[in-house]
Amino acid sequence: MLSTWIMMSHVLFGVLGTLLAAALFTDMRNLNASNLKRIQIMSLAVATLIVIAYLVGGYWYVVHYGPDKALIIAGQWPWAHEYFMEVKEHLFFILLLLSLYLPMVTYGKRLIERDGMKKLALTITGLIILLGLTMDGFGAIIAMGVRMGLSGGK
Amino acid sequence: MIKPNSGKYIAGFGLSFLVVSIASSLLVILKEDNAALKNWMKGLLGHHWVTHGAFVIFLFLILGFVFSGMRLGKNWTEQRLMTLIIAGTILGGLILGGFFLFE
Repeated sequence: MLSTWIMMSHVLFGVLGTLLAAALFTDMRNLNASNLKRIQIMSLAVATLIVIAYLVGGYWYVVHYGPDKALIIAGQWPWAHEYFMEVKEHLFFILLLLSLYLPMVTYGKRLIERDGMKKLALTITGLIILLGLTMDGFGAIIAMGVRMGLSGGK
Repeated sequence: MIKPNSGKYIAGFGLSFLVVSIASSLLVILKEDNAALKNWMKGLLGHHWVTHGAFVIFLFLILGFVFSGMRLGKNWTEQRLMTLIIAGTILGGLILGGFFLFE
């Protein structure tokens, strides 16, 4: 049961980080002096949520994933682990780095002074959304792999 | 003509992102094809993935500060940084996706 709650926390923080990145993307398109502070705080919150998702998900992966992995490998969808989990656990590092880089770009006066800096921040945020959604999709396939293992493919 | 001045830390950590995202994906290939390396990584912090994560974060910070010290931002536009960030994400992703597809 604890394992389930830890996993759900990982998903929750990851989804919240992705949703907040989507809100940040929209807010940043209308960047001005009045929403600059909010944008900076939101970018820091995105980084924080993704880092928490990494730590919680990492703990679950290292401590609790073993039985699920065995079920997936023995089930109808072994590729749910062999491809999707393997790619997901390493692709997450790129998402993590982008999330850490984002506040470096949004904090400082250049963001509002230079149009190019706004485009850079939008690019990073867009990639965070894209990778966040990819993580969600891959996670769903991995969960389905467990289900296929439990049900014998029915 | 856009005047280049993206800031030393933004340029430094942008380049660091490109290098580390590719290096991280290459490390995946190395450790999957080399049991001794994977076991060494496992022995270091208890799990190869934990060591991999620590390596990625540590390298990103170290290279970020080293590249920042080179003051690349004075001559770099944000356009160049956008190219680096997109290239790092695509290359890192393609190396990973391609490797596990054909492994």
